Amino acid sequence: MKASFGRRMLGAAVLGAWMFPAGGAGAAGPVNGGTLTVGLETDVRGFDTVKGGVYGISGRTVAGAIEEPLVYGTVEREYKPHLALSWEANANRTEWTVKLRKGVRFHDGKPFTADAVARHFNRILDPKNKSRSRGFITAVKGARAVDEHTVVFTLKHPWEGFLPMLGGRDMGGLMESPDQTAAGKQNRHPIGTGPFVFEEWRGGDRVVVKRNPDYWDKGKIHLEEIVYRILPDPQTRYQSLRAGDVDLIWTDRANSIIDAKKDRSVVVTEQKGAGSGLFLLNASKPPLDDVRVRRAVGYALSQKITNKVLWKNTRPFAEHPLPHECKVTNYLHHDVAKAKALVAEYGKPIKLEMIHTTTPRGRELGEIDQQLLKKAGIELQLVPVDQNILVKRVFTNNYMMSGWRVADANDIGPQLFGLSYSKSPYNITRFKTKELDQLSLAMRTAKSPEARRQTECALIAYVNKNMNMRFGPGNQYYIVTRPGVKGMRPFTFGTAYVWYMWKG
Amino acid sequence: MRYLLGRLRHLLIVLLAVTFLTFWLVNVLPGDVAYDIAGLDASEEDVQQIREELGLDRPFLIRYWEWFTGVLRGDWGQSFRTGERVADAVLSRFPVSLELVVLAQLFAVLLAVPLGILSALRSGRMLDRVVAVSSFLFLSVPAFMMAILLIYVFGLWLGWLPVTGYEPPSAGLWTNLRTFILPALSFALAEWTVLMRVLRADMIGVLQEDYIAMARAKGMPMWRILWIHAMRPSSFSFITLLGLQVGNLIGGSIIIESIFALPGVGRLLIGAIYARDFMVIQGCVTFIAIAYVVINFTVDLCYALLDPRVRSQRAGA
Repeated sequence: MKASFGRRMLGAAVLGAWMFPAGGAGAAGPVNGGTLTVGLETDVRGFDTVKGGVYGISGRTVAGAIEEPLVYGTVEREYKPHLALSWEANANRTEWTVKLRKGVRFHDGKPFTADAVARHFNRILDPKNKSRSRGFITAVKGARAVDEHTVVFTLKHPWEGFLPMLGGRDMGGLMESPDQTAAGKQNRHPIGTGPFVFEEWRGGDRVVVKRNPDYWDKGKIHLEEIVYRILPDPQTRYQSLRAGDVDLIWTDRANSIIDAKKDRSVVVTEQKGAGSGLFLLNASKPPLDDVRVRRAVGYALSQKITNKVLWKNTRPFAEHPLPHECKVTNYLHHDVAKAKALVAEYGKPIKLEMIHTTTPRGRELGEIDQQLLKKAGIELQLVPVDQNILVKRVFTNNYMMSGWRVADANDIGPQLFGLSYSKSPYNITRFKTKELDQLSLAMRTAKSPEARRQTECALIAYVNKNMNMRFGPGNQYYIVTRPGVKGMRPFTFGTAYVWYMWKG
Repeated sequence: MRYLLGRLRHLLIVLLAVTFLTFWLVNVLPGDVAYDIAGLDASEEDVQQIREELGLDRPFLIRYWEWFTGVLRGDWGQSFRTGERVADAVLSRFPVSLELVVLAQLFAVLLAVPLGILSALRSGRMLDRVVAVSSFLFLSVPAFMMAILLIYVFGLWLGWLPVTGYEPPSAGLWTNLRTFILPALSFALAEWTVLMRVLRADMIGVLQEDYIAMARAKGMPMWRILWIHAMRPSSFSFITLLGLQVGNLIGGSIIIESIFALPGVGRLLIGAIYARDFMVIQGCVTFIAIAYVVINFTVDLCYALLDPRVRSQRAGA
């Protein structure tokens, strides 16, 4: 006898409920064990903060598994206890007392103490060591261990960048083994306090780390091993992910991002960052020494068009590189009529030169800008140069206009200060005014986070108005993973916190 | 012994010439490795400091002489960027490149020899024509294009083989070989065509010799005629070409190692060129020059093994 329609539907419903319980298959918690394979863009240069260079996304992704910062910086720029449990400033904010977590050990079994922290920072600050991280923390005079778990940092002046520095995941912020560093081995065989222990580094191929069984926060760590594979070619990296050779990659290639978003076999996680692209206008080179010409260029260029053509809208529009909002930015939005009016007011033919890299992206950017400036009546000559040459020409004041960037960081302040202060060797647009110096110093020595934010905004508004630099586009990071990879948490500076993840 | 000493002298001259030329070329290239090391956020003082640390402010000839005498003592210097010893960097990557080259040649030979022999035996017939057309088809596809096609078909579509990466032999023989199949085939599918054509042409000539006709007349099996009597005299050009192709493979390995993310000498070299890491460039070029000379020497030795006339000539000399 055939079952009635109703009975058949009931049977199907029961079967469906049994196969797909409420909450779905994804409701399960972390799974312990397994190996996560991460595809990196570049190899790490070295793990010693003095001997190595600046990390970059690849370096931070590896180093973050082995070494840790004193404080945990969130995406919202809040700072939570990590290796440090508390921190307190004195009345004039020139001295910070930091209390460390007890019971933490380095991977070689030695205790993590205030002495290790003080030695780490003093080593960076020692001019004899010529550390390239030193330039970022010049506001710090020194550090001393008061007792086994208390460090006192002395600053040259109040510095709201202090906590961001402690939370940084670049060279200076991550705690290294002082003994391994003193033995000269930290660079190639790092020892830290982190959730994973360095196992192997096959140069140009992979870095392997294994779970630290004695980690002080074991409950958050699930993987047994992380293998970082060096895959410099972006297409190769993406195809490796699709083929299942790797579980997670970072990419900034618009075509791969768009393709990945359509591909159901991978998962795309986006995260907005601070920092931005930068366009430099050398205010010491005529006719760019005239603010009308600079502003005409500002009105003629279009961040929207560049974002659409070059980045396929994978990067956000940005009026400044700061992680917080500013009410007034004075950003010059694309307006050909205003550009032409300024050109007419200037009254002479305007011929400019722009250096750009010889990469396809560099060429394309140059061509877009050339066409945009042409519409405003400005002639632009493009000079393609190698990346090394571009950097050299900018630093030796042998350029008119060039692309650059403001790197994403916990604290954008040091970069803005360097780019703006008249006596800074990093003032590469050579735009020097008393007002800009006052704004830079006020920003640097601001006595509260709110005062710091306000002075940063004021500085940005001044720069945008005078157009020695043009900000944009903003930073947007894309991490692409295989579906089984879980535990992705909000991350900073494009660095996925892979050490907290697991494979479901 | 005299022959060996002569080859050693030849090696030294080649090394001097190649390394000096490379050192000079890298120095005249635009760009400054100090800027690359310092990064975008560094000041001019930082850059100058790096130049002094690395000795880049010293005269070119002094730097070259110091490097060359260091190499003779076994000190190949250090990478400017990573601090890794150049000798360690090159020697750790050499087995990967060697395995790639050997497997590529092996695949090429496995394809070329049977097809070359069959084409020679069936010269002018359908099989010969099919093999000829196929060979031109494969020859017209550059190695990097072949690599991408193989990745798409066998890596992504069929999912049979890994797209990237390297596993050492300690991870298991099959695990190791799997990672080389696609890269080696990328080379081999172009290389076999030339080997096959050369072998076919020489074998057609040899098969027309009187002693082959005599062997046939005596009723010798065809396989014996081919392998014992025809293959040996047909293989001189074949072996010469094998040796020359190794040079091609060493150069082409830069691209294939990059596409398949194999940590070989080629990838090390291309990374060093982009970064203006002089010491690593010099180390790689020196190593490749030594490898090339040794391979040519080996090819010469093979002639002596195959052809008794060469052995007699050398003994007489």
